[in-house]
Amino acid sequence: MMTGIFAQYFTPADYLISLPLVLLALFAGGILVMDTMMPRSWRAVNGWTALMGLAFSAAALSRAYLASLHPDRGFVVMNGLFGTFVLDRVTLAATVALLVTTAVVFLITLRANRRENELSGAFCAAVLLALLGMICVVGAHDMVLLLVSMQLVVLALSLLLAVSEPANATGPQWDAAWKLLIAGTLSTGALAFIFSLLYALSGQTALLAAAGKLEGLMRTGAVPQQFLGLVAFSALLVLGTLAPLMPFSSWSPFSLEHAAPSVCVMLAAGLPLVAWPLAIRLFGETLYPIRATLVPLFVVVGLFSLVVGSLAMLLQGNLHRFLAYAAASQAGFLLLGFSGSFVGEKPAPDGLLGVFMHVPALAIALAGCYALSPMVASRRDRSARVEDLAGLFHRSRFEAVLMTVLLASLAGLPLAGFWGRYTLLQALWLAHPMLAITAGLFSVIALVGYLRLMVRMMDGEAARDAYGVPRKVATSWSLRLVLTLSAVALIAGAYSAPVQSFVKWMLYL
Amino acid sequence: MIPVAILLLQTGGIADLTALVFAIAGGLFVLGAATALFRRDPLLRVMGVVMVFAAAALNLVAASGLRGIHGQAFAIFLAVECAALSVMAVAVLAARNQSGKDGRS
Repeated sequence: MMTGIFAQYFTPADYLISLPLVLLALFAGGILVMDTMMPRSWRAVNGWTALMGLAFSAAALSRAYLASLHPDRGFVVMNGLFGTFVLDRVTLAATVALLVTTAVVFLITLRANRRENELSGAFCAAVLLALLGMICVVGAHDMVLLLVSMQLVVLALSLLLAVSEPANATGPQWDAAWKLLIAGTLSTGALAFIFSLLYALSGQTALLAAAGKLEGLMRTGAVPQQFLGLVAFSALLVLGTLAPLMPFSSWSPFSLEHAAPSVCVMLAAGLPLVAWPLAIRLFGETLYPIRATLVPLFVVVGLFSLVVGSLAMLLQGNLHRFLAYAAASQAGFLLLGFSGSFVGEKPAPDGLLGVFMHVPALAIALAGCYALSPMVASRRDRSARVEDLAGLFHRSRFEAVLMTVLLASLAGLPLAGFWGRYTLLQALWLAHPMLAITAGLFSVIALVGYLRLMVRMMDGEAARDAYGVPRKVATSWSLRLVLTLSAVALIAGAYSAPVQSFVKWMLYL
Repeated sequence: MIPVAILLLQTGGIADLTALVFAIAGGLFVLGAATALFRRDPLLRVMGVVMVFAAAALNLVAASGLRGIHGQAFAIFLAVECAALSVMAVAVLAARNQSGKDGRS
């Protein structure tokens, strides 16, 4: 390890924390270089190399975890990079979940019938760089690191959307990349503005220190009203344009409609795993002293998202768009439940528990549905339509069962997605009973949408009409992957106690 | 804008000027956000987002007169983020236009 004068600038903790991130960056760069020297037919090598990068990164993370184990106190929080990155339990759990999600992305791409430009060097590098940014967002405890990593996520995901199709294609992927770029960067800019105001008040860039100063100022009534107004406006922009809390942005259903399943998994399953730890750090810790300003925003944005998402999903003809609106509806439900925890001096544990129980279930169900979508599509070159599911049970029984399990989990039937919903509704009922009733009502409307799909899959008449439609294009590998995700949804629904205990451990409850 | 603000802050009258700069930054932020959200021209949208970043940078530079040098370092990071956005936006727009679009979103 480093000695002498440099030891104060680069400590062993810095090394352990930065190693998984540096490895991801090195593998991303290496894949880009390798891709220039390989023929197109060898592109699978890029995918396997990226998977190797994930394995190395996971090994480095486990090393950091083992180093922070204390004989008496168990896992101890590790600070690194001048206190800007904190490896706590939330960061650790979210990083592991993100590594698994990214592995699913590569496995889908490697083993399914991939599109032409999937697994190109730029594609694999963009996935790894997006993952790097996501891990930094989850672990960042400093405004500068948080903003820089958010921008990296936005740029890498835009690139991913753009390069998943050939450069000369007239497809809509460039429009999708453009919308994601503008919405994501506007969100980062609005967050930068909130941070600049916070810095002006507190003189700190460390989030927890700024929160402490803000709380003191709120107690003495020294915070000007203009500050609160501008923060409210900026927070509205952040909530409205931040990808996973996407009620106001139209890019997401649009971009997911035509995107490859692997890109959909990265966007729809990866982003909530980043956004909710970030939302809790940002709104539940740093800006918690001004909760009276924030809660009405959560309620308005959450209701908007829930209502629009639940109603719009009933009208969709494309399966990817259906799932995107379903995710918007879920984001609204989560945001309403989250607002229910903003009642006391500290966020109520029930709301946070519900959020962290529901988000992984949501990510698993969405990843499974998107991974399954090319297997049920009637045309290999297009994403699946809702109509392609008609009579699926009679054509491809196994896929139909898997899809039913995943949709049921999304709907909140007693599988993995049930317990998080139940806990969130409980928290909301205690804080705002009327909102809990509204959230329950729109969940029922969303349930109708999911049930409609399930009933359509059982439709024997439609199966006869669809005679001659090419059968599934799945490989046994990708089916096994979806089977694993469905099994996790089933098991987590049946045995919720271990999941609940884990989330409590993660949140120090 | 950032060097101009630094220059103004260095020439004195810091408290009054800071309040003025905060007000300008607030206006710039609202204007930028409105441009990015409601204009249809892609270049104007990019400029709107850049204005939002510029407003944040202006706040940081103004606050650094009262709070120390960190704000100016933070502002430089924001300027770099803006540069990254601009490069990416130009690349995406060029590719989008090349793939047969008219450049309007």
